[in-house]
Amino acid sequence: MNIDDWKSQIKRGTLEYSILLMICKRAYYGYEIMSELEKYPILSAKENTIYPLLRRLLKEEFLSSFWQETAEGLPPRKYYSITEKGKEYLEAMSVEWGNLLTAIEEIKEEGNGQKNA
Amino acid sequence: MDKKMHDYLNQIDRYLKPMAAAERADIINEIKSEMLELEAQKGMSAEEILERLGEPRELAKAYMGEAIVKNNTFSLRKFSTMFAFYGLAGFTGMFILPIFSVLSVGLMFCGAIAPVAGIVKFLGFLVGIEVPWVMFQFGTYTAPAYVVFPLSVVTGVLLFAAGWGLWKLMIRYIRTVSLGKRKLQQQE
Repeated sequence: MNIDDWKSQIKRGTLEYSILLMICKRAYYGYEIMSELEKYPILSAKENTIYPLLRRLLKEEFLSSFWQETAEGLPPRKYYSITEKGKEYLEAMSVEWGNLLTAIEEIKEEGNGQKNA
Repeated sequence: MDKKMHDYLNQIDRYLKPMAAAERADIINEIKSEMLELEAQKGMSAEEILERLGEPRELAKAYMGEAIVKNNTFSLRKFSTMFAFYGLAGFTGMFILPIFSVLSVGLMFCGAIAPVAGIVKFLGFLVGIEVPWVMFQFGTYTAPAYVVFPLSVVTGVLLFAAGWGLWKLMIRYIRTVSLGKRKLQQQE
């Protein structure tokens, strides 16, 4: 049984949503996003996934970016924050996400009902 | 900063040559910023950092793959990005991408030229000049001068559509290749 292929499809489909949900609360920089995602194996992703994805979201104007100096004497970091367009997109995603969860729940219960009958 | 990390950034920069200079600098600075952060905050060695980032060509390819797939329009910059991408895409890319790209651009070019030639022939016909270097031939059939123009428009549209279709097909191929690659990396 190989579940990895399915897991990577799930990840591909939900990474964008997860990242927008994070950035919607406050500005994040790339490495910070990756460390946050590392807490969840199903979502964890490397530089070669996260950076190109962030660039695409920038190009699509769902995100905007700015460079900020750090206090600890480190080089400046590139922060990402959400735009108005990004918020609308995120809202639409949340609706669809809710639809998906409801659908899965209903399908599960239907299955149970048949079993009991 | 360690020489190895410096070389790494230079390699990325070289792979990303077809991108606009400002965009490239932004990408390099972001990776550099992460390298220095990992070094200072996490105390990682240069080797550990480079291992985390993976092969420079793979990282560069991920950036370029996303840049190519992001829209379907045709531009010269995109064409050159794609050309650079096929060098990174591996063996099948070595055949499919050059053949498809040259063929699709060639077809679109011919598609655009055909009606122009048709107009020349038609104008020549109107003023009574025979234009011998434009003619419409299909097998043994040679079209008379007055139908060359409509025929050339139809042929032009067909050629252009074929080129455009190939172009789309190629974009889809690149998307599959870069997604496939990403999948492999995630399974590691």
